[in-house]
Amino acid sequence: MNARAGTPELEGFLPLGQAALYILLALAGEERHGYGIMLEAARQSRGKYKPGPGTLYDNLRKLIDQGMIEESRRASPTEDPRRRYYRITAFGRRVLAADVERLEAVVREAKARLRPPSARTI
Amino acid sequence: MRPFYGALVHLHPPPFRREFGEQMLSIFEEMAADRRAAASLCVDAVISLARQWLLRSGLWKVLAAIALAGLPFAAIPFGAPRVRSWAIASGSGLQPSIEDLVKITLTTFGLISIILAATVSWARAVSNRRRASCHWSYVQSRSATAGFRPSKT
Repeated sequence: MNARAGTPELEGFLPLGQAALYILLALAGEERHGYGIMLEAARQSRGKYKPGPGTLYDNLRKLIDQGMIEESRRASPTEDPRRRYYRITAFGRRVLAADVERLEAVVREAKARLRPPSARTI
Repeated sequence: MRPFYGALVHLHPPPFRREFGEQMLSIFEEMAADRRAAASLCVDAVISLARQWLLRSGLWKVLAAIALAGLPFAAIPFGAPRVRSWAIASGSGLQPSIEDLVKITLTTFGLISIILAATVSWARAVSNRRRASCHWSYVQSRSATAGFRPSKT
């Protein structure tokens, strides 16, 4: 899928920052509350990136303002009532897809350059 | 450590605190059993406090403008400057003193900085409006294909 083709309006949002990327990735699968996003970001980064609540909610506010995520529902009666759930919007999904495509290009380029000289084709 | 974290959350700007304060406390209570995690959450809250007040609330612009506007008064020793403008100095044939030159230079610098801060602020507001409009046109185009028209409010 070429998410960037014919969508110049996405360019202004790229590249995504580290926090925004992990938040969108965490919400790409299912809706989550703040603590769930923190845990999922830590899991996806294999423990290398653990945003605190201050960082998380600052970025959530920005992403909500940009229309990439939205609040979905309040906590169920069995949960802590202070929890709120967030989900990715269709626009957020497109921005995430465009950034993943950008990262794929970076990885391709990096792999080509880091290959041992003997393996390179001239 | 819960009261300390609660105080840090309470010190955040009201809009941020109203929207996310309770959720931050909920996460803290979830993680507070681990003392190291609780300490790192307190550090995160201190950084968040500085970020929200200094960067997100726009307070830095006010502080920078006040600091720059006050520079001329702080730089010149008490009682030394005489009130003379360029016009008076040139009209009466007097040469402006070094103190006057310093004062004029710093005042000009302060004014330029204030204008610059205002321009940057305006440019960011325009950029944010453009981004929001991009998102809105995307939502409208998607909604048109889906067969309904969303309200902007």
